[in-house]
Amino acid sequence: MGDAPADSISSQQLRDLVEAHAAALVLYARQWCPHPDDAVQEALVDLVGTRPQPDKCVAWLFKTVRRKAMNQLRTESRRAKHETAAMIGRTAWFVTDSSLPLELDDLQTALTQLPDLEREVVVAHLWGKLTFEQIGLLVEVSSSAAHRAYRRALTRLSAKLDPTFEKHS
Amino acid sequence: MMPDDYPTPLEPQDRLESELQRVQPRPAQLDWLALERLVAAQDPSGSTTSPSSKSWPAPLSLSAAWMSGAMVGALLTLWIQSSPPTRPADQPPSTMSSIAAHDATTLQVDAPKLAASERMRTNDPWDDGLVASLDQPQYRAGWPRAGRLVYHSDREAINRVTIPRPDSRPGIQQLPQHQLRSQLMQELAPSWE
Repeated sequence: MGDAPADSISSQQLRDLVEAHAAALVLYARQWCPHPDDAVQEALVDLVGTRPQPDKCVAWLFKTVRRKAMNQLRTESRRAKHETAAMIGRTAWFVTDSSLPLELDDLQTALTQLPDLEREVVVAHLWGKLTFEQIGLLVEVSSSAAHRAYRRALTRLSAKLDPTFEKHS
Repeated sequence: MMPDDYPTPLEPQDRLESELQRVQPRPAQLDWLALERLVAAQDPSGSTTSPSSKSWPAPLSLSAAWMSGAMVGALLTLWIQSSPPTRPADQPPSTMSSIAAHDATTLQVDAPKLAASERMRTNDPWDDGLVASLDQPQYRAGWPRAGRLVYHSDREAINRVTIPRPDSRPGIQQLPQHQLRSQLMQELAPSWE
């Protein structure tokens, strides 16, 4: 869908948005909270009620999902912190695909071991398709800092994943 | 120069980057019907359709019931619009349309069973935070995340349902958590078969 602002979002626009971005949004929220689908659902509900429609819907959704996920984390932490962490860790983040030259479990583990900023930037850029400028606004750093974080993260991931990566190559 | 236009050096991790781009995140599992309903409700022209809206219960009634306290301890039956379990619970629908396509039947779930399942996660599931979740927009838009109950016949989904406190399940409450879950799954399973 286009990013042109409009008074309200249509059903088809919403469907297109979800089809194109919901999986990445869930992955993004999954970094913080045990119920990422709920965070995305709530963000979409907010989007429907927003007048006028945000200028950049996708970037707006990432920012809103981030806030929802962090709110959820705070609530969950008050209830059962250990259980929240366990739930985040045991849920598969990616769709199994035997054609990939990567062990997805290893990838997930490697991602969880990244510094928070680097993981967030990697997810937002690789799967969320956000530009570094958008990511900079999202995580409140400069776009060049976001880009540097991304490169650092790739270097770390490469070091961690190289053994499994090479095995399949 | 825009940051996205930075020249990309040919480094070992660049190959990894291209492989990572092929990895697909798990699909989102959203209550698409609730969203469509919300869009339709905000569209004065009525140009968007809201499938099977007539058969959905009014979520306000449940919330109001909680507020009045009239249903505390009572056996509350929730009629939840949902789809039949045509796929294993651990295989989420690949697209939203697949959720909508199956949205034809109703599912009956006993609230005390769900309530008891809340006890698996926290010793006091009746805290304000959980109860307040009933007042969230997505619940008002279409009670209550029904699709997730079917596609996720697991603890995570059931935990998202908040209902009045049942006072009559002492046996359940005394079970260890893992047994409690098994028992609840057994009890709930016939409801969606």
